[in-house]
Amino acid sequence: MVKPTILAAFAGALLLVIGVACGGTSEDTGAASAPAAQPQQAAQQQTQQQQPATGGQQQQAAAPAAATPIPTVIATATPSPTNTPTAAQETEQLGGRLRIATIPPVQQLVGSWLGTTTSANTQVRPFTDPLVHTDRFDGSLVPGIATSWEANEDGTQWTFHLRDDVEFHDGTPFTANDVPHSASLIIREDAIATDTGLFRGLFGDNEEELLSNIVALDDNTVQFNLITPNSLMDFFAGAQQGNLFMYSKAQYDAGGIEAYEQPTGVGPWKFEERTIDVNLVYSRNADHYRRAPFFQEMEFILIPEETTRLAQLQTQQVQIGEVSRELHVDAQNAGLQVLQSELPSIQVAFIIGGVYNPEEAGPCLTEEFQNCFYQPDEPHLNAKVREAINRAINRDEINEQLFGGIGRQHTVWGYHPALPGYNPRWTEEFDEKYGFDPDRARELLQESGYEGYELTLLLTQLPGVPEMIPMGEAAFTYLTNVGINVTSEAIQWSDYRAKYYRPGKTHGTIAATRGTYRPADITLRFYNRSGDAGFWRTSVDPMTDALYDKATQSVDPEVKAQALSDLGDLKFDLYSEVPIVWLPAQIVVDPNAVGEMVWPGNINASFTHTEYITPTAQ
Amino acid sequence: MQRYIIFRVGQSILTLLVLTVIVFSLARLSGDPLDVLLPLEATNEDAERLRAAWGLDRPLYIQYFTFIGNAITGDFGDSLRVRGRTAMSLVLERLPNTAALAGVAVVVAIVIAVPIGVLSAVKKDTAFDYVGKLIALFGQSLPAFWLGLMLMWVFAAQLGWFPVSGKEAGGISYILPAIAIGWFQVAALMRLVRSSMLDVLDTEYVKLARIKGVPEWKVVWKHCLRNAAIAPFTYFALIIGSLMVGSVSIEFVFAWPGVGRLAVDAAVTKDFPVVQAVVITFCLVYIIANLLVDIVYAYVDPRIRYN
Repeated sequence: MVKPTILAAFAGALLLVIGVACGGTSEDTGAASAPAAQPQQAAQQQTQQQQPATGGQQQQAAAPAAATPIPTVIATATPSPTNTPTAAQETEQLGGRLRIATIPPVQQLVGSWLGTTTSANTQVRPFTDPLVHTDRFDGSLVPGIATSWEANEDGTQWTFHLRDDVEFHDGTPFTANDVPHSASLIIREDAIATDTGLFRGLFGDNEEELLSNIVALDDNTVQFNLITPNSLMDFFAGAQQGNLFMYSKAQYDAGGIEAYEQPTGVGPWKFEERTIDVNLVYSRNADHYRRAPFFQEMEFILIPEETTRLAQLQTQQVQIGEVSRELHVDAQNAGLQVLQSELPSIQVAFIIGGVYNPEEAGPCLTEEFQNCFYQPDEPHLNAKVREAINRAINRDEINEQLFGGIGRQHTVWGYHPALPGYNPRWTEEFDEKYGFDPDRARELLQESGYEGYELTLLLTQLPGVPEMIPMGEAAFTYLTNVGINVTSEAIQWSDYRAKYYRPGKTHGTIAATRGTYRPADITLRFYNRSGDAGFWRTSVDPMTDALYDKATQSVDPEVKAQALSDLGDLKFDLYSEVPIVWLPAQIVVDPNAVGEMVWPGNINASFTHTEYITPTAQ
Repeated sequence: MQRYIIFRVGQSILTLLVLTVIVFSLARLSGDPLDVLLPLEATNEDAERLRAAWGLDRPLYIQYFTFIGNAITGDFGDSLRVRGRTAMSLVLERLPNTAALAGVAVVVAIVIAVPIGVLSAVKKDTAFDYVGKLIALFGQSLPAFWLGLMLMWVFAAQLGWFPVSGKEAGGISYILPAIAIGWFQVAALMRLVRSSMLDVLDTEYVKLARIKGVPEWKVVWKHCLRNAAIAPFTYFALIIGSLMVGSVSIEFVFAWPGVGRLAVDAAVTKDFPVVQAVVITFCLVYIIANLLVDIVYAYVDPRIRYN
């Protein structure tokens, strides 16, 4: 006969599950938040010692040499001792397997041409390098495989000089011939890389044309001949954008595209294996030309549920994990540490829909109604309405309540204070022009004649900023409070894209978005340019178009910065968007296992510079 | 009997055909995969190029007939999310993991549900019975997702008795997800066992056995349970399919590399080929399970096949 105690044991176990679980939750959430970890002192000291070695947009101008067949060098970079390990790192012993719990990427790939920069940066960047490296402290472009590079005067020809000691993991030497081959992968018919469209525009839309434009001059020199001028070729050859990674031409010649299922590379980690939706495993490349990792192996473990990722961290089954901000308090209470990227690298804003004409470019930002819109009653054409929206939003409250106060001031969508084109005036005048003032917002709406106009607030979500929907809900309250007749619509990102912005029908809407740390013209290309149908255009105008062209087609840093600054002035003064904050990227680590971790931060590169992560000293 | 089997197989094929139309249509209605997979920076030109390359620009009826023609041979096309892999290869790769988890969940359900069901019946209207009903209530009302998280948090994160997620730790990895999946079935199976046992306990032959002095444990566990097991066993055949399909949320919570998680990821990214392959596979499991149960029924009870 079964003992009655068995039943009692079952009941007890069930109550234990509920009791312990509920008790733990309430205790955790009731605790105060500890401050996030600061970058380590050693890292800061090294930053100060570095010589500036930057990409094209930050380099010194040299005198142009007219009437010469040799490209005029007006932008260059030289090798520097950047990204070298700190003294603390050099004395560290090697760790075993570094296990990182991550959100499964949308596309699971080992070919960078098969997905977005977000996917490629996590999965591809460990095992193969781009030409240009990114400084882990300040995010600037620094020598990597390319030791230096220069552009001609009109930005149509870029020449990269390559190291002669780089080898693929299979032992074959890396040469300049691997570069055009790697670039050709980005424009394959099946490519959906972030830069596919860009590369087709810059180098031709078929392999033959591209290979005639990107040529190896010798084993250590490669030349990019651009169809249209571009001042950002070094950026596109760098890791921050993340598509032009180096693949072995010899491996392709021997085994075709299928050979890349087990790719060799030139990165600090060797690709070992992957199991779809489970993990990716890399091993240490002890002979890497730049930096051999401090761990023997690295494994990305793909875990979709964030509570599970936190539990993995808490039980020390992983050492690093992606955990959203709302669980950071729980993580810190469990003895884990929240680390921030070196840069505030994620920009958050609301996009005011409809400040453009989907059929033809017209003066939409700088003038109202004239020749611009097929919808002359579009309220968002009116700068006073846009100012009212900006005045209605309480940025400080959003920052405190949703982001825990870690956000930094964001003045103009697309512009980072550390990058060329930023005008300090925007910082100085921001409170005056954009400060929270609901009374003024109501006045502006009254003056514009659009008091109580109907606005559709689109609640949608993109990876990297889980607060986008609560931010939208807060905006609903703010905008309703100043008399706007707001209707909210919860919509999946893909549906928003299909229904609103791809067909150019964002008029009368507002939606939260986020962007990354990159030169302003990259962001502006997507948001403030007419012509490229399908982009998420916010405010478009012939004047912004002209300034954009001037900025992107000039490799003269001063001309470029001035054009960008002028464009930013327009956006700032005419309230083209609703900038909210710049946020750092954040991750959670087990301090008992991870010593130093320094990375610049980027929504497109959550886990970069992993080769510099050190184990905790035993 | 043969006619009956042929008739039921025909019905099953028809059901499957109708399902293909529904699955195909729903997958298309849910949106354009390009809007999920393409980068923000992609132009309309990029989208059209990919649409043509993936055959999404063809008329829907042509896409459907192509899909059906290929599906008959098990070819559901290439995954849009995991490039270079066919949809069916991804499903087949995961199916053993889901089936194994479902198998353990069935064992968990039986081991827990049968004793409690029997005891609830034997000790009707006592504390045992009330506790049994409470367990049934929890089982039917607790969402598997929540239960999975709670089990993980208590037994893995706090007590450290089990791994948090994944299946790398071997057999021990199965326990928490199997309990989370099987708990709902525990409740259903327990109630079924209890009601069947109550019926049997009230029969004349049981009373006779007791009058003859057969030990009580033998009456209950041998004579009663054996006779009361017919209804639960019928249900048992169906819950195997149900457990496999019900694994979706639990595989997500426990990062279990099964078909359920594959289905979620494919649905989120609008990976049509994989969604179609998963749903058709799940439907096949259900249809075959039902078919087998019906055939066994017909074999056992001739009245069914004659009607």
